[in-house]
Amino acid sequence: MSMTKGRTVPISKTVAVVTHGIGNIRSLTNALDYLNYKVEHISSLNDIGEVDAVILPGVGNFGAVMRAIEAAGLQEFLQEYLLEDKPFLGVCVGMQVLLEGSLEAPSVPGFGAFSGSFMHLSTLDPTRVVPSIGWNHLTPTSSPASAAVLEQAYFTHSYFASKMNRDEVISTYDWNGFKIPAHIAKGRVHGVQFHPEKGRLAGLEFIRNTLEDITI
Amino acid sequence: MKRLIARLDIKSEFLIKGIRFEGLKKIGDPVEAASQYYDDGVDELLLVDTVASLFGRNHLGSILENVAKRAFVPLTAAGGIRSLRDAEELFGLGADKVAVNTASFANPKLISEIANKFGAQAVVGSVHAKRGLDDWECLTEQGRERTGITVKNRIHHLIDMGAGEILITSVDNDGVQGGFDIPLTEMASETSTVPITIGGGAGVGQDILDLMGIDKLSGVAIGSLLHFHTLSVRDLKAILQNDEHDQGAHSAN
Repeated sequence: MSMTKGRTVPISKTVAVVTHGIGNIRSLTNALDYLNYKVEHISSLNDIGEVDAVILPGVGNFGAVMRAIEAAGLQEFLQEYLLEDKPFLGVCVGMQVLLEGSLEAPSVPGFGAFSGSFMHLSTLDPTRVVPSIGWNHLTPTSSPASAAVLEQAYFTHSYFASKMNRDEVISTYDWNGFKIPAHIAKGRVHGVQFHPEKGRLAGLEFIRNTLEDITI
Repeated sequence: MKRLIARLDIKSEFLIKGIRFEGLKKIGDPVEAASQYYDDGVDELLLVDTVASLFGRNHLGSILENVAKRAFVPLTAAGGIRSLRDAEELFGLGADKVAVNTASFANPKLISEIANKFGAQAVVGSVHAKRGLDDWECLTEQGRERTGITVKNRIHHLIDMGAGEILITSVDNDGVQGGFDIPLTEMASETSTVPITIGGGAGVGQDILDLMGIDKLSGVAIGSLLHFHTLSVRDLKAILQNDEHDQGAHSAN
């Protein structure tokens, strides 16, 4: 699939963006608008209609995002949605909550859709600058590659996914000699540590390819 | 890989540029310029409302909103952010980060409030550094007011308050296009445990190459060099890539 002049007109699919009040959903909405998806913002159970995929954005604190999801009454819905292996993309902290937990908020469990948990980058090398902010090259792992491969992506994070099942890591990036999971996937549930919505046209293409891949 | 950040100073609806924060000159339309830099492959965009901290905000919001619909790279908004509400408004319009300077002196809780809600990665501590006899001092109000606080102490303080990165602008070198303040950049990069971006001084490609050896430096903010079409983002990226290639060829690692 190529992207004519950067824009594309997919069959008008509807993507729900979980709007939990933390972080920047505007960027993601702008990206989905640009790709001509129909966007529904869901901030409570009442908002959920017929959707083709769910995107969970998130920046900031793991615990704050999980609590905001709970406060919106969306925790059970998402838990079930993930259990049923429905089309899902978690971005940044939206990816982090897919694992079992994070040392950022040890008392708050994640959704546990993937095994593993998040640890602070400084535990790998305390002499390095954290957060890790910037553009990095992605290296695909030997796992069956997803259709959507991205060469470079923009990251901004302080915690990284550790103790994951290897075959659920689609790509990694190099942080001072350590391989940090960048893109994880299991069935139709995907998570990315980077920000594809801030990844130029290639990032938008990644969003589209991933969504098209999991909503066939 | 260091980030190449295009810095756009804005006054009313215009892209402007001054020298050492003075003698502001109108250059053109900021949305057009931002779109051009984006199309040319810039890593980030920094939009600075240059009069907001003095007179209140005017046009930054609509400019930011239009840039965000067009340019899919990280956007930082700066200038006159006085409250969590101001920050929220800018995030709502498409900013990924806000940079705070002046108001965080009067209200030291501002940075932690924003960081607690939006995360440390969303708050940039902005420092306007003025060279003194044996140190650098922080200025506020777009270089009009002295604070008596050293840049080094300020960096520690900003990190304690929750800033996820720090943007240093050399007031002495700003707009002069005679090169960056290298000792300032080195000092800041050594002091900080969060990513540092340096701005103020880029005049030729070599000025940017001069920064590449500073290992812990994360980003470089460029204004005049791009706005006056001395070099394009494409030119700069090519220069940096050649340099990286040369480094790779010379080192075993």
